[in-house]
Amino acid sequence: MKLTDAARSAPVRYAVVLAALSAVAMGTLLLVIFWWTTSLLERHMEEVINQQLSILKDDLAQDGLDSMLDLVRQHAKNQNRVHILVLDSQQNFLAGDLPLIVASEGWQDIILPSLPDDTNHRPLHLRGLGTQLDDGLFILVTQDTNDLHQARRLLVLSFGITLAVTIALMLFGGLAIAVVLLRRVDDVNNTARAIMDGDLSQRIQLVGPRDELGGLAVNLNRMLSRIDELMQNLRHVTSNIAHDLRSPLSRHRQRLESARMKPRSNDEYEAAIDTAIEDTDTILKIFEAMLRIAQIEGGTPRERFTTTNLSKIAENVVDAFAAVAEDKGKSLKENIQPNILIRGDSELITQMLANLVENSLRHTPVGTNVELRIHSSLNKILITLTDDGPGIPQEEREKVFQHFYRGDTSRSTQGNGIGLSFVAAVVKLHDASISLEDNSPGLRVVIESPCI
Amino acid sequence: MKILVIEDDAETAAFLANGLNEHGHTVDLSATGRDGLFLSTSEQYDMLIVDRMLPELDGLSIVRTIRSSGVITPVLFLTALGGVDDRVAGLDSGADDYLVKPFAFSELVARINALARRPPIDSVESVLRVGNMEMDLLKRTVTRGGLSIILQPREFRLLEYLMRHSGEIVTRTMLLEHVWDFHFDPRTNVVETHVSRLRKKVDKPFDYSIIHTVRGAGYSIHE
Repeated sequence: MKLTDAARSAPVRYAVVLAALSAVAMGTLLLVIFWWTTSLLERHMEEVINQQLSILKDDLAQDGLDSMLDLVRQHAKNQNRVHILVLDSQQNFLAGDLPLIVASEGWQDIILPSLPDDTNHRPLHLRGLGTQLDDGLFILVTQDTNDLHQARRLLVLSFGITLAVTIALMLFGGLAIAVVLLRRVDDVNNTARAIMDGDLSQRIQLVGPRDELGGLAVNLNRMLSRIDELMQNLRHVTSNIAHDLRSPLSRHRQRLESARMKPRSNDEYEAAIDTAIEDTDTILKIFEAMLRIAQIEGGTPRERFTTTNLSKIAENVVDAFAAVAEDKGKSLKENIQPNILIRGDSELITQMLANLVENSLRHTPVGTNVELRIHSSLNKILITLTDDGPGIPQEEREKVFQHFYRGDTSRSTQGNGIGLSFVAAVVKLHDASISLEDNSPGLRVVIESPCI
Repeated sequence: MKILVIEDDAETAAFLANGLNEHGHTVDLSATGRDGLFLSTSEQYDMLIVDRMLPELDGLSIVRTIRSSGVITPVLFLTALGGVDDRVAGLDSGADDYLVKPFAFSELVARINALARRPPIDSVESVLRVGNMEMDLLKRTVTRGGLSIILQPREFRLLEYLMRHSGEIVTRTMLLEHVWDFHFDPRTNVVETHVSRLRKKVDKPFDYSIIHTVRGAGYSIHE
């Protein structure tokens, strides 16, 4: 992945935004902690100063000035963080370990170059409280704030490190997630590219957990299968159209040519023309059938669907074809539960049932018994057409629904192989399903439709 | 008959005009929807043959307009739009029949004749007669030469349709549509089978036939 790609990639951007957001959150948290800690330390320091001051004031009140000054001098000898300065009413030094400085009443911050007895000459940061007593006495109690500053510095440092680590972790984590996601998306992209290059058999490899991306891959694969199927169907149909139309067309041409070869009588010409018209009609019929299937597969408007009496339609079809069957030395019987209602297109359903019945009448030998059964159960309607003819071999059953498919055995018989693909298209339009089963002996076509 | 053909394809229009002239009809042609609408409302015709896809104004609109202005001239749509819903839309607009291109001329002529001779109100007749055969539509009985003929309901409907169009040619497609409500062409000979069964009952026991086969066109019932 190149850097420019990274900037454009959605997961990377999300990772960066997330890292920024968590950095802001972390920073706010650290600021609050910092503020609480330092203000706590400052309050504690001020308490110590107040305490010292009240000790001095108590001593002054109880034992007098000298005692208090002793206390101050004694305190000054001990190395500690509290430094005191006591001045008289004329601003003269009385006692303490601070140099004579201008100090005022109240809280103040003082910076000294160094303490008088300090050999290290390190600058001193002090926080102090100056108090003017009634008798002109001025007491300044201060505390070294170096510790406080140190604590602050440490806090800032540790917070900085924490923040940096957080941002780094968020960025790395985010980028790692982004890379994993991108790799999976790349798989999809690569497959898509391969397909665009013409290899429709490619499928997206399902790696990783069955999450949303997995689901997406599954659906894309399904879509690809459907497209592949349609493409193959289209190729199949195109080549079959070429084949199936070429033979009647060339026959047509031959007949016209031979009629033209030598002078003939009017009757002969008339007969030749009649044959030519018949040939043309056959070709047109094939076209029309294909057009109809295309229309249905393209989604004939379902607003034409009405509540239709399936039983009546089926009875009508059986009534129409029973005589045809009888003439062919076969029998067509019905076993139809009356008044089964279905939501659909009555014309298409009529033609579908007619196609099914005609199909079994055409492709079975003399003596075959065909039966159309229609029954409804709780939640489905079953249309079953059975015959006791030779049946269709297992491996051919799926193929018969394809456009133009004709079993090897039926190649010789008349027909254009369109009937069953019409049936399949109508079944699909009505959200029903169709299957071919072994009737042992014979074939059983089962259409299962949901009840309305 | 005076027939108006509204058809924009010049070759089809000429084919129709020639063919209909040969059958003894007078034909006016108009090549656009607007002209067609104008002619059909200003002149008196016995029949309109209308294409659906026309320049300026489509066939459906023409038929809707003339029907709403009270013109009851029979209208036949002759169109390449052969989808299931196209025919329904055509008939809904007020047309009387619908024929899909490409068509056989004999089919067109048969349909024109059927439309032209259609009695104004079908239910007026209660007895149909052809020669010595009589069909009582109320009692649902058929007799020929005084002998009663027992028919299945479907055979009765088939014979009724033929008799209503006695003397005319009735095509296979017309029978499929009106007797079986089949709006497609079956690959088996449904019509032939049923007509032959009907003949066994109606013609065979008698000394002459009244159901005739018209080669390349259909059937006709007459004495």
